[in-house]
Amino acid sequence: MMTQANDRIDNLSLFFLIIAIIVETGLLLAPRILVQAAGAGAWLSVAMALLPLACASFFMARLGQLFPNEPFSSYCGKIVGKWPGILLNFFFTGYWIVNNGRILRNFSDIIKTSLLFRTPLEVVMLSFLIPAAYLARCGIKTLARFAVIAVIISIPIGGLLVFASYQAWNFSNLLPWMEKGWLKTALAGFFIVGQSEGLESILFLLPFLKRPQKALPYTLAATAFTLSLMFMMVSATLLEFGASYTLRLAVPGITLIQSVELPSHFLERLGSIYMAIWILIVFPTVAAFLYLPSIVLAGTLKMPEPRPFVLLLLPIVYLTAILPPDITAVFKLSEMIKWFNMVAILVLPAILFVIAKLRGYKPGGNP
Amino acid sequence: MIIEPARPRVTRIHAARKIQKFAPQIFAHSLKNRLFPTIVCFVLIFAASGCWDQIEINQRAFILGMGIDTIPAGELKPAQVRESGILEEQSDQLLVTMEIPKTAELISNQGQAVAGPGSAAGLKKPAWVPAITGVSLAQVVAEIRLRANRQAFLGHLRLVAVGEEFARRQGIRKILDFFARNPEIQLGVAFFIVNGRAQDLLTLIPPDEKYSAIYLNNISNIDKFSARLFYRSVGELAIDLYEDGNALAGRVRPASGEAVSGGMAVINNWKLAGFLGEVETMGVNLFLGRMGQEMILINMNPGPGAGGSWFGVRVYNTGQKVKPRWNGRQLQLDYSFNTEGEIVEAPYGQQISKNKTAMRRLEKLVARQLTAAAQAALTKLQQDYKSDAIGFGVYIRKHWPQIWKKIGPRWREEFPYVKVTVKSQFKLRRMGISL
Repeated sequence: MMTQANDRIDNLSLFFLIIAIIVETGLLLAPRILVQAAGAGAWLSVAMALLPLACASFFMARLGQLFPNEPFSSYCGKIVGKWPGILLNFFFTGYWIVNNGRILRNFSDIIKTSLLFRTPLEVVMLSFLIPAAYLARCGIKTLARFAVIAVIISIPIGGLLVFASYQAWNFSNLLPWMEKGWLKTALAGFFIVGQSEGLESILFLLPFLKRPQKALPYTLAATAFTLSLMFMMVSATLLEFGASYTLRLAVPGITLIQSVELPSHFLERLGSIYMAIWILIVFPTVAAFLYLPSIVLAGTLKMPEPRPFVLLLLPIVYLTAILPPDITAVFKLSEMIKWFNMVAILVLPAILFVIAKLRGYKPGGNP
Repeated sequence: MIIEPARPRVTRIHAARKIQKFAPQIFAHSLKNRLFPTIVCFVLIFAASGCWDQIEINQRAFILGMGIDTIPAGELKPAQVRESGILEEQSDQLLVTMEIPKTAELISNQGQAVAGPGSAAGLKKPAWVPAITGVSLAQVVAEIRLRANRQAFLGHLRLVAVGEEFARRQGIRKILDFFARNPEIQLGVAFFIVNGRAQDLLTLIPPDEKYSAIYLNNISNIDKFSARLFYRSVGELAIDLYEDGNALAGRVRPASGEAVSGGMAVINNWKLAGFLGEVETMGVNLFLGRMGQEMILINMNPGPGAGGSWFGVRVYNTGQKVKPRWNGRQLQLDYSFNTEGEIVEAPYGQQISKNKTAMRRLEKLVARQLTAAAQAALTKLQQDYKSDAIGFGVYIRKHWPQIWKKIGPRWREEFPYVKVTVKSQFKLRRMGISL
């Protein structure tokens, strides 16, 4: 197993890792959530989300560069004081646990609905969570390597399947552009920040980089890439189903792929194939959301080794995932944690960056 | 003379002693590193093999087609309804006919329909066609388990046919949710409203296919070659209906051992309002911009005793423009269709290309016929069925939201009075391989 001393990744791996962490079930659910908020103009909202997301990744990258080679758990205490710093660390730990539980539950529900109808939910969850814990214990280098493989395999195939639905596209479904007014369309763009959980990992991954000073272009590129994936998914769903029908779909991304029919019926039931591929891309998210809180906890509690925390967090994540009694409760939970996500991704890094600047911290050195 | 340095002799006994000495350490180190992955793999053997979902292929009943009809209240009751305390008696029941291939017969007869007793045409279909009554589709599909030794599987469903009476009386809303909700069912399943009973469609043997479901599903490939028929999949229908409750669906009718497709069904507020004929269907396809290609016959020499001079013209490449006019009280939509085509047959080998005047006249006659078809369809939709199945309202909402804000809330009442003008243009591009 890797130790933290030699557990470092290059910037390109960071690019793939950020994409692999952000892309999860949220991408499949996004069309419905955005159409609910912005109507047929949901695709414009995605384009509008570029600004807040780019700002968020800018603040995170710049904040990390103020404290090179220092973990967040250590330098956030320097910025806001010891106890608020500890509180912040615990906030992020809780944030990851709840998000991980939500992702795990969402994903297991989708798998159960579209692939494994009779397999108990608990088995689906555990068979996903235990290997993810193993991956998390192997350290950031292994996680990054897995992310590269997952992104290279899943994203092109997933993209191709989405584009394969082009025959049924009706471009008038993208009209009217501002169905619910420009304010709601723009606000929906801000909600996408709440859908991009995992972007905050930039803050925590920078100390593991070989060249953290060059991280900003890679984080911005990863943000733009994930947003372009969301744009593709939301637009394709709208083009195929229109706003009214998209609102009725539980998981529009899966229904979109299920509607694809290849010529001569030589390959059918593409939704199942798509799900099997999608497992690959959700896997690094769950693993990263076990790994990140474990390094934060180890840093906060001054423990040299983060690995034991992975196993300690495993039952907590499982319980968080299993607790919601039904799918509506899961949707409600997603709706609730959206606001926490916005705080964790957009608000906190910006505030921390401003305070650090006011306190005179400069890139590469302390005052 | 070169003397090689003496090599240490590694005997078998020596190696064995070494292994004996270090084996426990190697084993302990290896065990420490491998214990967790070993446990993970062991757990995964049981957890990730998907055994819970295993259904062997010979345990599945593949439902290829479903025909849905209504049955008169009090005539037939499913067993569950008659049992006291289980379900309240319901008057609206479905009669669902299913087409399930008999795989064994399919292999032994090499997929051909064979002569046999019990079928009107003297042919026997390699399929089981049970008809089951129930109050909902889910109940009927579940009932298959009680009649067959197999689990119903809808992943290969190709056809949903709804009988005329059912579509008129009970409507599509009652059944559509089952198809839109079930993850097994593909959205590309063909949907037809039968001009008659759906059961008759499922029991017939089509001329060049083994199953009615496959035969009718193939119409999805034919509709681009003919504008006189219309094809809608379950998914397309659901998208239209959930928009505003109005939609168009394909029409099919069973006739003396054949399934004749042509024309379309008009759905108004989720229920069948009526049918459009083949020419009217061509008119609707002009509005929808999905003309594909269609053969039109033009008589260049009409009149009593003239004998007729019938030109066959293939029309294709429809382009359309719409212009709304809103005067604050009434809406007018000006449609113009641009089409082109070629001659496929000229009477008595006439060389029309050498007569410019005749060519222009032929073009005008084709354009006039297209306009007449569009207007006939419009009249029926506005006056007879009062259904905006073409989707004028949706078009206005998408392209002119300012007009829609004013007219949208009372669109259902306004639709029959919307003035629609139609102008067609036709250009003769080719003559075939003869002049």
